[in-house]
Amino acid sequence: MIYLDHAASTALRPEARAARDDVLALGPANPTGAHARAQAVRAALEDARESLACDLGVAPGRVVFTSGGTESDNWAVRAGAERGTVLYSAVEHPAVAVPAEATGGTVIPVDTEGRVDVTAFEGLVVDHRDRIGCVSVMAANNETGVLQPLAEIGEVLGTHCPGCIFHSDAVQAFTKAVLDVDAWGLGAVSLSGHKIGAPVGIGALVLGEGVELTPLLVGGGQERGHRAGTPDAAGAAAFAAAAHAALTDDWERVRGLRDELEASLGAEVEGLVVHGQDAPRVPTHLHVGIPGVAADMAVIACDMAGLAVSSGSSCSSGAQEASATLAAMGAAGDGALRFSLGWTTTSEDIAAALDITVDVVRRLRG
Amino acid sequence: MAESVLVALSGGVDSSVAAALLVEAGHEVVGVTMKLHGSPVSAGGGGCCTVDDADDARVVAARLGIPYYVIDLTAVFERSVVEPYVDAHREGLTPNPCVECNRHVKFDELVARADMLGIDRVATGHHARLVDGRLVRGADANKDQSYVLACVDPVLLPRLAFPVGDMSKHAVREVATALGLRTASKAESMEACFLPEGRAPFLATRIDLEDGDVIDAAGHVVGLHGGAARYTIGQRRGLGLALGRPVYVHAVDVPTNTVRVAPDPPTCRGFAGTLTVWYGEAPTAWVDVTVQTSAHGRPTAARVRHVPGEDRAEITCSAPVPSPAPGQLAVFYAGDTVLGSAVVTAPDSDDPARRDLPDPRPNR
Repeated sequence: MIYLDHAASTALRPEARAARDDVLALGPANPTGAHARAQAVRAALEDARESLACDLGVAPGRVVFTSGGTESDNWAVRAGAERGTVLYSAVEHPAVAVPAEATGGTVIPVDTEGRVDVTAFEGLVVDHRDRIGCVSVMAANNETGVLQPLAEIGEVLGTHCPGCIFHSDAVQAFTKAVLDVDAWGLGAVSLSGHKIGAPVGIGALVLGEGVELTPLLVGGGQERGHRAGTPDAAGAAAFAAAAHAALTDDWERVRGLRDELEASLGAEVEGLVVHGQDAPRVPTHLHVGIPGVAADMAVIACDMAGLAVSSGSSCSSGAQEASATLAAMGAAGDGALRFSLGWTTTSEDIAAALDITVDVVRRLRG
Repeated sequence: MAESVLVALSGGVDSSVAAALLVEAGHEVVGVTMKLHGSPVSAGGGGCCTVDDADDARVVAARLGIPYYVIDLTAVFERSVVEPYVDAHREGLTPNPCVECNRHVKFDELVARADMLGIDRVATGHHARLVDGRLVRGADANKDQSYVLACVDPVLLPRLAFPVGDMSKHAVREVATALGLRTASKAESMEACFLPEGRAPFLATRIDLEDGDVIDAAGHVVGLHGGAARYTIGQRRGLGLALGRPVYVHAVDVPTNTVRVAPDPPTCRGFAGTLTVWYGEAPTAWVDVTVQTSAHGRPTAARVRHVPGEDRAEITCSAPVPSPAPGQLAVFYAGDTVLGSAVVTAPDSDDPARRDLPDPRPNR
């Protein structure tokens, strides 16, 4: 099977597997315990925290391990909402958009590439200045891979609203694009392990210097009181190892493969639209619209031919649904397919994916 | 000869066994669940009513080693089934949503999608048979579903298969148990898929149902009803009247929000139908048939003809029969073979072609 759904979950990295197995090999122990084995597991957890913090350029105490991107997003948005109105972009992942909407948040519109228009955003911030508690703008969109102007957004907030929490869901961007937590004035950054080569079930919320958020999970006071629950030391070790490996990956190689697939599909598929083509994107995502093709059937036909891709977002039943991101961009949404490459993708994968996709499109167009 | 078959998996035992039998016969089988209703995740919250059923179907497909997909048909289902269902109630009709789903959504979509995927045939778990290209009642008389299929576009029949149609329900469950399928002992679904709480609570979410008068044959008000659109011709239960004797609904008038009742069930010796479907030549001369006017109704002897040049069937019965509820499907059988169907029209239709028919409301 040709796997081009890395944005949904990417391949486990050997470094991550080894790091996880090393911690599991220490034997059963709760890292909060007092005995020697607990101390060993706790040391592994803190090593992982330090490694990840170092790779992010922040102090270790600002890295809080969570169960993944959704928990991190929910936590940041809900804690941010305690301080005032939540402003969130129209293309946020449901893990941000759903809790933000529930608090009566305000949507930040995006342009036709799906990017926040910084000038319009500044106007919005000035209008809401006294009420803003939190601003949540993702680093890269999960569907299109389009990068948001976080540095400029951070600058606007630094000028007009220095007290609010600037949160970014960086689940898709982390390790594939620059992420400068402090320079951009970020107060909370969501990260996910399985998007970078660690197992599912580990993630982090990275806090800004001096930022304190009301915990989402309370109880035993673990993670320095930020997040109750027994820390997943093995997962954290895998996460840190995956991050370190991913940050030194050759993403320009992947970008070259993505660009090759984009160019070839454009040449072979009449009417192909590349969403976010003119915007800066992460090197891994290619989101296209194929007029005259039912996207859900294209995903099925590709799968039957041995190519795993996705379309829109999946409902919990497994049905493919229309893309909220494309709707926010004002794009047609016809035949929306997402190819997402990863660290294991080869040029052979791209050649085969091209053949299968062209064949499927020809068949579905009749 | 081995074919490729797209089998619709509902998450129930019949379609599970249908898929299993096709796999056993050596066909190349692909399973698909149609998500027909339930709010999409993007609408906020992620209520998705078919998750459990889809998970059952997914596990069965995995057990059988076949590819499995869920396709979202919520938009077309809402447009082609749910909205017309609500509108029909506003007119005092009693539509059968499963019939309309089979007519407008399920089989059209399945065949279209099979075509897109280059798949030869479409199969479902319905208890019905295809014999020499004709639709025939299922072998298990208690489970026969030919009634709800009798509106499927005739041109689609050659593409369909009903693998459990010649089995008893008991035999179906035995096969499922023998194969270790998790759906083996799953309960039957009784209501239409989007009416888990039944008809009235659903209608109340879409129509303003207001209390109104229940009127007897003499014109006296004998009680209150909870909204005329909820009632059906011939209905006896659930009227909420304490008259000391059973009464039957004889007429439902939504504009005046009145329900008329009488001590005897409403009967008629003839009625008409539209939206005719014929499997074979439309009979323009009267033919002897048995007619069934509800999913679990008793077939009765009748004669039917298709009025030439019109989308209209006329049905006469030799003796009075319980009046069919307008909006229900009338299905015509020759023995066990389905000849065709028509949707029962309201008896007060002022269609001039009704003139030569017996009074459809002799009791009123």
